[in-house]
Amino acid sequence: MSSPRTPRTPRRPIARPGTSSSQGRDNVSSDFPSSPGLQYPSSPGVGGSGLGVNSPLPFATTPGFQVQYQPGQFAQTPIRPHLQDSELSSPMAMPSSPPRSNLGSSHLRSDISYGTQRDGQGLQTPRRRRGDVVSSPQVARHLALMTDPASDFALNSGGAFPTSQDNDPTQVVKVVWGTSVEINDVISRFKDFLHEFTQKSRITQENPRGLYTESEKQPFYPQLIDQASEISVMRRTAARQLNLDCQNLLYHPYAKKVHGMLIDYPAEVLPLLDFTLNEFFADAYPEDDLRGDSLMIRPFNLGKCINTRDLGPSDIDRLVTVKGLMLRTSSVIPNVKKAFFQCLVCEQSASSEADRGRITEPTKCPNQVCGALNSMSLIHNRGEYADKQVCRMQEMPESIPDGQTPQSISLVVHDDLVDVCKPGDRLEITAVFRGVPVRVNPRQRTVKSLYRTYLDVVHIKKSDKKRLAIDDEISNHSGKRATYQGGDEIEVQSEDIIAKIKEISMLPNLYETLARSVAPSIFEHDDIKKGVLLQMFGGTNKTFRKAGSPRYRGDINVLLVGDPGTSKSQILSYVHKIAPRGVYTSGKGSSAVGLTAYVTRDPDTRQLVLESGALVLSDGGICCIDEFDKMSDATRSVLHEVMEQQTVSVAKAGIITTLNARTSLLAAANPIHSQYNHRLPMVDNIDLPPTLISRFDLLYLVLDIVNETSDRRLARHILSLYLEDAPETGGADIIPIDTLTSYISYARNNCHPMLTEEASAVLVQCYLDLRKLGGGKQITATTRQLESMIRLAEARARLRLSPDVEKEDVEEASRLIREGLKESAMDPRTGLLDMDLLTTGQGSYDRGHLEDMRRELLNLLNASDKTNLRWSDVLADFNAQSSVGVSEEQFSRVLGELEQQQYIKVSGKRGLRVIKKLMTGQDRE
Amino acid sequence: MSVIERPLETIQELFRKNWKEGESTDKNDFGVTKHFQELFDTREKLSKIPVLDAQSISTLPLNSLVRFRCMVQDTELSQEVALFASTISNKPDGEEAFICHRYSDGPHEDQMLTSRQNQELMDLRSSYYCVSVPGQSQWVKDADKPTDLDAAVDGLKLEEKKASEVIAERFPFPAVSHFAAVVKTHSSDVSIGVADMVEVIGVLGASDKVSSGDSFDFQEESTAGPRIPTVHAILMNKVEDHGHPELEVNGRPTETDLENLTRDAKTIRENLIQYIAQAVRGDKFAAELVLLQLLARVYSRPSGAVLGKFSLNLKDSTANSPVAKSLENVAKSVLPKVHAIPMTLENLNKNYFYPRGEEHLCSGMLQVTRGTLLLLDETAMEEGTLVDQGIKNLKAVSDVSLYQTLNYVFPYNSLEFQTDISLLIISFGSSLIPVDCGITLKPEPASPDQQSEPTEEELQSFRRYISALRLAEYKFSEDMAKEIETEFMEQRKAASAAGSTLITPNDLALNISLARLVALSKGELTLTRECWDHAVALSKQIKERSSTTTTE
Repeated sequence: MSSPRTPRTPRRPIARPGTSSSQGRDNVSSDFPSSPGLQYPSSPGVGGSGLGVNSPLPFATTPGFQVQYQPGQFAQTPIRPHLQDSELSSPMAMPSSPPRSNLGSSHLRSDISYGTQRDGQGLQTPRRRRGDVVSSPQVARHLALMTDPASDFALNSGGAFPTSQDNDPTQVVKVVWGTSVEINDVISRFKDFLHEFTQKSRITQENPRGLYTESEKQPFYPQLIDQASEISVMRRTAARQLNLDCQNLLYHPYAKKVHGMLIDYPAEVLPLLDFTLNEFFADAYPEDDLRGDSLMIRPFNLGKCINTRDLGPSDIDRLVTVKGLMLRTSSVIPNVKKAFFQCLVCEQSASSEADRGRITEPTKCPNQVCGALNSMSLIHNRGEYADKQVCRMQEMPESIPDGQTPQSISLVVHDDLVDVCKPGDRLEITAVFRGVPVRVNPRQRTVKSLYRTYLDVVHIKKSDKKRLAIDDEISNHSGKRATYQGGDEIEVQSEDIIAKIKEISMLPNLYETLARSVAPSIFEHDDIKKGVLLQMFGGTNKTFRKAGSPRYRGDINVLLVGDPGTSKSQILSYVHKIAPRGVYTSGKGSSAVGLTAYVTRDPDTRQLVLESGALVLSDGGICCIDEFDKMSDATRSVLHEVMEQQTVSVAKAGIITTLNARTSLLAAANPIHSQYNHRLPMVDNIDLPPTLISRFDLLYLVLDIVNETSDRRLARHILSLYLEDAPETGGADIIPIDTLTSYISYARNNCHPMLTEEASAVLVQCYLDLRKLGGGKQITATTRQLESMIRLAEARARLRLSPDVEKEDVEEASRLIREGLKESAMDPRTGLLDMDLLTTGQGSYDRGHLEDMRRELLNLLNASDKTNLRWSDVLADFNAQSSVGVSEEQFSRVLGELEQQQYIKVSGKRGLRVIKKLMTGQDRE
Repeated sequence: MSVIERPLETIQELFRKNWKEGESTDKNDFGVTKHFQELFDTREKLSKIPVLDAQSISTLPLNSLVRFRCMVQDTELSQEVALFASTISNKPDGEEAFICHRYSDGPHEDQMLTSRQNQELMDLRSSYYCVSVPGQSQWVKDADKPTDLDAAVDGLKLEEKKASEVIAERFPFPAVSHFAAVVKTHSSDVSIGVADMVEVIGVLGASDKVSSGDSFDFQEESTAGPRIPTVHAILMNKVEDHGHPELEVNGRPTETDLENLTRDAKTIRENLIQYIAQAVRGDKFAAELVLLQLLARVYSRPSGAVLGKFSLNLKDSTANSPVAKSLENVAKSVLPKVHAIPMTLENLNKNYFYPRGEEHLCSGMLQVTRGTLLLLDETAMEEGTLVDQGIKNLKAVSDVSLYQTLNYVFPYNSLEFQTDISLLIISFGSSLIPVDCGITLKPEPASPDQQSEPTEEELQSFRRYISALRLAEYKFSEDMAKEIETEFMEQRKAASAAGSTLITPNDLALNISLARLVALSKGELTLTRECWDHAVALSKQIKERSSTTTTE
């Protein structure tokens, strides 16, 4: 969507004929070349454009201009010097708006008084003025004339100009000198735009669809303003601004031209737009009193985002949209606009406007009776101040070229935008790019040939695009959206990306292709990739009001267990890379504190602050935990809560709270004895409580199995890396990581599939089948598996961007679960699935065998004539005798039973446990 | 040559000849780059340009042409918009001239800007903060020094003292003296990145304070901070990672070089192993592995995998092992870039191993150029607590060892950079850092006749041998690949039948890397059966040697 841009008229000063007298002035001002309105001093427009200007701008500042005044008048009104000053002012030195004359002829100044003619008293009340864009003086003057042609100033100078034309400014074509901006043209175009633009016109051009809502057919801006005004009535302090999506301008045939001009000459055009908006507002709501305030346009979405790296000299003084990451912000700087002085002797007051950041302190009391020298003292709280903040923004991490360090740029934010963003926010900023010469010495005017650049911000939009966008559901849930999210957004993702996503979703073997695209460098493990893929899509979160349950989780948890060196960590780090709010921790390193939330003392404020840990940080995302089995017990207990309730409770240092942790968990664990023992069931192979294991929707064993064909392929895979061939990673048709990311993000936000009747029936059948697998005796599936199945089926439907969960989705979900269960809940001794193994760690086979084992063990103990036996010795003997492997856990369970029956007593700790026979079995029996 | 003393005159002439205002001539090229490239097209001609370093800075005149070999520490000092050209009037007589300001600090004090500056006559330039190559060995520095007496006499001339200060935390190694300069370039070429070694040919500018870009007052120069010399780069070439001063900048050994080397490789190899063995207490096997490591480099990263890295851990269980010190000396005598890092708790807890961006990008000990050998001496470690900082440092070292990547930590995000650092870890027991290969030293009493220092000539041949073969192209044939493939499969089958431990894919990968290094060390550029068997034998021995410690 590149915006058509009118070729920019070069802003080059054009030699004015016969103005040698102005030479001296030019020399001074040339030191400050880049502030708006200074480089291009207005002059009689003849030389400036050939656009048929038949009249010089009425109040243009030219050397010839002063001649129009009576000498006496000039002496009274300090117009001339002030004009020059305001021209010299660079926006940094004087970020507050240019001074207003204390003679009340504020129309002369470059701040625009938006008041209408009715608003007579508006002249006295303080007005809000733009801090970001100081409008160029000629525009300001012109606008002043348009609003209030009968002002004293106009009267004063009236005689000097051919009033017949100028009193009716709408009839004259006026071009801002040095630009292609025609004042009246811009105003009329923009006015039409405000009146006529409908969302429909944009949607029809972007992606036509049949139906339009009533509000889309209505002119858009009156609606928006209606909203804004309501708010302003409700809250007196409301921000008075209108976010203008500049793309909308492009969809209005007549206003198209304004778009290019706005970008090229923001200092000239923006005030004109502001002016038009205020008139528009005054027409629409004549009774609405803005109490001296005026509405401001905040343009955004210029169509093209410029990388900070590419901002060059040609962008200076243009409007640009830049993306970045906020690094730090200064505190709010109160910027004096007007200082108030009072005489210590006679209490006569006087005020002084800021002039290029400096206040001239009156040295003498203006009261002629008093006239005391050096008696004026500053009264702080009667001055006028504006907010300003200086920030540092770093370019987006993803736009940094390889091998380069990130670049950062300074931002200056004014007024309402102050403190809108915090360090760490990802932003899209619309701003005017500025360059100011560096002074050699603060006390000297001499400047170097060096310019420092910064951005004067006009609009801030928060964005987070790199990672998958956080579920809308969740971000809405957590409360209000940021105010500056952009007032009239239609669609965040750009059209071509969506088109691409749609195209991908049409692929014949979409599911396989997407699965292959997950971690392409990892060899095989297709089912695991599928599981992880579905996890990234996630099921839908549901709320059943009737059931009283607040929220059903849609997050899918996956556990990978396997031999070391089977690329589990690689899968984890891949997921971390693309998952929304992905957090990667290692179970070994992270204490309970790191995973949950902890309380620290803020080094600056010495206040206690709650810092969220990995789980809370990944709220709405995926938390990847490596070495899950190495985690401390305390942390694990937290995970129980997270995985079912999806909250983390914190009670530390006097802070008691519950934080949301709506996160999917992807964990990887190693077997207890480094190598997986196939003779033992899964639960005995990992050092994790069965209760925790059962909370995972999918469990995968990643094993190193000897198999001739796969070994050969594996060897070939490794060798091909070294042969510098294209390694075989499952074909060339994989989807690149960033496309996959946006695909998943799109699906998560736009697709909320529902179960169809047919799918529900299949679901029930699959569940029943699964339960039947146990052959009646064992429990093979619980409702947890049913829920998992629903979630996976939803995720699979989401993957297809389908609104309905269909039969095949359910079948695939059930297949994945069965495969997972086959590996994890299969009792290797019976070959049957047994859910109890997972839920209690003890299968029904065990229960049957327990009695046998008890007897055998008793016999073994009796066979020995010692009364005290070492625990480990007995286990070793017992295992040697038994035909099937007996795990420590089973062994201690049997011992526990015996202990209860008072046959034996176990004492000592861990490795030094001793079994003491209380009485021989025969004695008892 | 006058161009060396007054390069700006040459530039101005080219400017007058080739650049017209208003015409859409590319600002970036009015023939300067080409002109200087032609002027200095051989190493010999290049060597005429004086080298800029901590000593020569005081004698080199301002605005003269200099040569500066350095590491790019930071590519993003704040971006500047500067005057490209302007009309100036010289103060005494008011004579006006249209002057190009590129490659200079701007107009002189006695020149007045007369014309209004407009955007077409402005330039965008980026500044790189550059430091002397970290860990450069003395013999490399010596090779760059002018040897003739004239230069020595020049050095005595008294001139105005130019400031040359440095920002200490921008150099990787704390408490190591170094030289730094800000290189300003107009090229939009982003192929030169952080931690690259570059050779800059440019105009020496004034020493100035580095603008951190943090100043909230845009019009004023930052007033605090050290003054760093500026170099306005005309040419900026990336130096390949060998760092050997006599080899071509692009690093590819010439045909004749290679021929000589392949012929002599075997004898040099024997001698070099002998030489290294002295440092590792006579253990020739260990010495061979060290030699292989010196030849290792990351040569490819296909789809996420890292090929060619070879981090080595030597375990010496004797107290007060002299190995670390003697290995450092040996390495310094044959390698261009070496640095030893004592892994004391204090060093780990207090210093930074990874670079991090705060006010500016501070360096860390791992921010070194590609092809640098870091000797980590873990025998220096004592008991105690490792604080948070220490853990992060260890993590950074592990990342380098495992993935050859280094994270630069910035506020709110961190960036991963690819590295090629050889890690040689000397430890008491197993190292804290995961390595590709770890063995226990078996000291052998050396016979007295072997205890001889190599001659300077021998050292020269060692240096060339390592630097050239390290970068040599190596291939292995499809046939050989087939053989390896079958062998791997058979081995697994046999092992699974016998119930012994399986050969893992990782073992296979190690064997293939070893085979490459063995072949290179013998001067062979393709894999032969002989080298493969040698490599497999080595791999077996490594297994034995590494498992001996675990049972102990």
